[in-house]
Amino acid sequence: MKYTKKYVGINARFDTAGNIIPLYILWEDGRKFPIDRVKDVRPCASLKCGGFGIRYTCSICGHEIYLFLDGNRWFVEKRK
Amino acid sequence: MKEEITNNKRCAYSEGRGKNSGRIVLHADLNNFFASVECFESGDPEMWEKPVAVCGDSEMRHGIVLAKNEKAKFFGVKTGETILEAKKKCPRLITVKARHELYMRYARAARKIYLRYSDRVEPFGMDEAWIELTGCPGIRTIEDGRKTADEIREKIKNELGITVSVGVSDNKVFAKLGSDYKKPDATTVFSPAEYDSVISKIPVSEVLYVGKNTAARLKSFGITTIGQTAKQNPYLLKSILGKNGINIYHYCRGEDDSQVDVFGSHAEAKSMGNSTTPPKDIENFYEAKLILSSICDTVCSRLRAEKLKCRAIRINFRDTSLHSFERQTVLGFSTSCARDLLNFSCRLLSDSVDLSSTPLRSIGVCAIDLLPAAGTAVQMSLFSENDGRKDVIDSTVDELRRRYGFSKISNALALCDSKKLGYIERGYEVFTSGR
Ligand SMILES: [Mg+2]
Repeated sequence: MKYTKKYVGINARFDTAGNIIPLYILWEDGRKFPIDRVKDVRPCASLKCGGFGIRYTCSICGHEIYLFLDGNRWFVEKRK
Repeated sequence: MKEEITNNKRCAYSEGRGKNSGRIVLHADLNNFFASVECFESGDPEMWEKPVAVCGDSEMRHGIVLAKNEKAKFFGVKTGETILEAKKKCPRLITVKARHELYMRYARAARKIYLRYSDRVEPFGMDEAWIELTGCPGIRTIEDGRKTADEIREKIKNELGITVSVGVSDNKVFAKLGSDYKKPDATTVFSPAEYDSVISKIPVSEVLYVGKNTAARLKSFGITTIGQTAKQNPYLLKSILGKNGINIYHYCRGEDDSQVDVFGSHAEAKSMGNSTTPPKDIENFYEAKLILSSICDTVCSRLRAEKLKCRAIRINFRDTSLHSFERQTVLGFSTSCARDLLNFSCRLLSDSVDLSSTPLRSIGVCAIDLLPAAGTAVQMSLFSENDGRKDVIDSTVDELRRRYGFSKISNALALCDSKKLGYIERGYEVFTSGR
């Protein structure tokens, strides 16, 4: 199974400590996916599609997905 | 640099006393750096299993191999050869165009990882760095050094997706020797205990600062290994190799007390340069000047972006039989003005080579002896008639480029025959140790 980087829009909250908490993923077709919970944040490489950044492990509608902050862009690992 | 010969000084290694300097120094070397980044970024795990070469501009006749992965190495692909030559050896070779800014991102991220362990991180080239662990919390023995090295390898793999080899020793020279000894993704400890069994048998050509010529001279005296070099009379080495002979003598004995720089204590880049292989060999001074003008333009633009000036320059060039040469000169003032660099590099070139008899395949200019531009005294000189106008021109050019893109404005000279000469990509940094 091949994956590709899919850059996405994000709505996020910055807390007083400077942490970024992503709230919604904004898909290109206009859909909004609320992030129920961020379970983990760490610097990490994307083993599925290459590249690295800060990895946010998010749960969205019961699914666990990785959201990567790459410089100041966000991407998800999307199946080709 | 050590000048005097300290025969009776500490020589823990060569006497096999099993005592070390008490320091713990790591040298980390990202494996097949450019090629690994490209393989990883492709997102295709199978890419690692295919022969891959990172090249200069592949559209051009002289696109040159800048780096390759293990598989391409296996087919005999060499850095510096043309894509055509490489493809003859390996028809299925995948060539990708170099993306220097991407590699810089990885290099910076790797340094950030090293900096979690020590503030003394000294980059050496883009993909290598020394890390001094002496005195860091929890670090007492060389075994602690090994553990940290293993941890760093894991972090690089997990966080960046590429691999690093790490050498652990009590001095910089042997740490670097260690990182070269086993790759990829390996830790090698070189302490006095390993001297007789391993280190002493390594060819002396592997030692830092022992170049091809030095190794060949030593070989003509029957000296080929580190152990043999360490046992020589230092005066003999001095007579064979000059002053450098004494340094090499000490290095081979593990007697290197040079410190690892605190990160950022020097300008991060100790030199900044760019080079090109135009699609057509350089056969006269006019062509050389055109190309040098573009190169100086990118180098200076980069210098100004990093708020640096240079006090010396180095040019390097390669003739059509691929012999390379290097010449350098001090400027007598500091500058980041392309016109200054062009004047000096033209003078250096015309003093060093007769282009009508020796056409050139490639040419490069490197700004060296860098210092921060702020606070630099503007020194008046015969060569730099700096009345401030050049600075205004430069900053205007920089601003136009920032707003509209690098290629939107360039030296009029560069417009002549720019098609014929090909070129030019953005300047990129070349990191060297400077010591
Ligand atoms: Mg390397």
